[in-house]
Amino acid sequence: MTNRLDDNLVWWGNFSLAQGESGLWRIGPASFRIERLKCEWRILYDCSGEPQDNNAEVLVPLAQVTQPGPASSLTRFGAGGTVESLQISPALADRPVVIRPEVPFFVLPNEEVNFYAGTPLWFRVEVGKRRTLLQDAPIIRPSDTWFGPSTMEGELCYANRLFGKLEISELSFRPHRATTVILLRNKGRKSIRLERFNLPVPNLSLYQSAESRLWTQQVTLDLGDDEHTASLGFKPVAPAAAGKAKIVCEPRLKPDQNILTRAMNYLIS
Amino acid sequence: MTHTYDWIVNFFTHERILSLIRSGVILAAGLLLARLLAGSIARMLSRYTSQPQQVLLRKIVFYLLAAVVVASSLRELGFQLSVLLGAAGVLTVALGFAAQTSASNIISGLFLLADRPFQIGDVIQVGETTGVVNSIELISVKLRTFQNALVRIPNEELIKSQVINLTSYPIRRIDIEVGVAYKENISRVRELLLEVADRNPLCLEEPAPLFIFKGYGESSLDLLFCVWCAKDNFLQLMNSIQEEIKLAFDKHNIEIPFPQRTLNVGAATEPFAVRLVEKS
Repeated sequence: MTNRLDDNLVWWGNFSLAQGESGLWRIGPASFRIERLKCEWRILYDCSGEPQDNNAEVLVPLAQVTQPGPASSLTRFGAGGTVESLQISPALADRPVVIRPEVPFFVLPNEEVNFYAGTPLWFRVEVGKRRTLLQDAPIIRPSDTWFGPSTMEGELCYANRLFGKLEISELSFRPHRATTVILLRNKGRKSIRLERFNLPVPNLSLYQSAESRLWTQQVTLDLGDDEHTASLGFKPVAPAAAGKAKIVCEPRLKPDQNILTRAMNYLIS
Repeated sequence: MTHTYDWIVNFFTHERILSLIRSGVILAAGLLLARLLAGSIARMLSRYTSQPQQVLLRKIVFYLLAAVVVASSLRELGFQLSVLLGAAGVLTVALGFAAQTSASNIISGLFLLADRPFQIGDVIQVGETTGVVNSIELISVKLRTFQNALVRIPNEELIKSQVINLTSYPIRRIDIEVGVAYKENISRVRELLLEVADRNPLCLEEPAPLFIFKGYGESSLDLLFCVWCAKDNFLQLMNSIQEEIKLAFDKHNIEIPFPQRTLNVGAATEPFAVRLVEKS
């Protein structure tokens, strides 16, 4: 089975591997080769592809096994005996993602604006009926960054410099990224400059649209004249832009409530 | 038979024996109660105190209660407490002179526990010793060095000297000193270093890497390049980024010069004899 994302490929789903067989998941510049042996699973990761590669390809079973390249890393998982079923699923990052506009961005007073941001995806491998987790790793490891008022206070996040588009027609979907719709509402009387925005992706669910695109829940950020607080709300459904969508991954962290009120410098800066 | 019974009854109803039994019961029950009470108080305050503070609190409560229990027990035996306390006072003075260092360490330990400059698991540097804090006790702090040796540092020394806690904050800065040849374009070097930092995922994007042109060294243009990372990635980034800088410099023909000396022959001496050798 060889497919491309443009042909509505979903690289996630349930697969079967006979003993001794391998499968290859090539997602953008990264590839995962999973091999099933009698008492062992092997996952070979390689990220030496072209950074601009936006294609996805799944080859199960893999007809010809090539020698791993020098940049590949192998992980082995031992078991009494391996089973045929294999579940591959996408997941959102395990830490918040900081979105930084490439140029200064202001939200005008009493205005609301929708923008679309791409966030990195993780590749999750589970086996058997009990869905034993083998691997939960980023497809492309994002850079670390710090978000907080000082170097003593804040949290470790992932950096994301690809700032979102304001028009859905400008979006380019990539197989290793999910899209988040962020509704920014400035309820104050002053323009608010958005330098960085802390998107709590571990609290978000992941949805698959009818066109096999991946979307997260829509996030609404309410800002006002009060400089001390801002509130962030997540709707527990797929964004309207995704159309009819189904959930593919639950949030890593269940939020206590669907509205998060924090000091503004913990959400934007 | 009756004689033996009477003897036993007399023995157990004798005032001294009764005192002894009462004293024993007070001691046993009192110590048990003191232990339970000390544990409960430490548990009750566990939300507000660190683990070493809890241990200390438990010990203080236990020893205070134990002192009261022992005093009551001795009183039951007929000892006069005023005499005992007087003797204890003399003994304390004598012990105080004999154990000056230990007392100083204990008091320093109390200050350390209150001040909390580090916690168990932190990496600290005291003088030339760097290691992970294994335990914080009343007398000393025990460190496990990276060579896997146990180092015991008396609390008094920790109070007196400079202690650097390397893992107090979640992120750390790595300062990389690098020199490039005088012929190099500083802007190009700066750009290259920032690119290297940008490509390394362990290098934090914020706080942004810092480039400082330190000055004109004897053999090179001296630069300081500072990058930030999560504290757990410190060693990994320290190694990887230096390797990547060297590779980037090699790739772009940026020269890291060796120390150089320019020799000038003074007017009073003869010029150097130079021998020309043909290049093979």
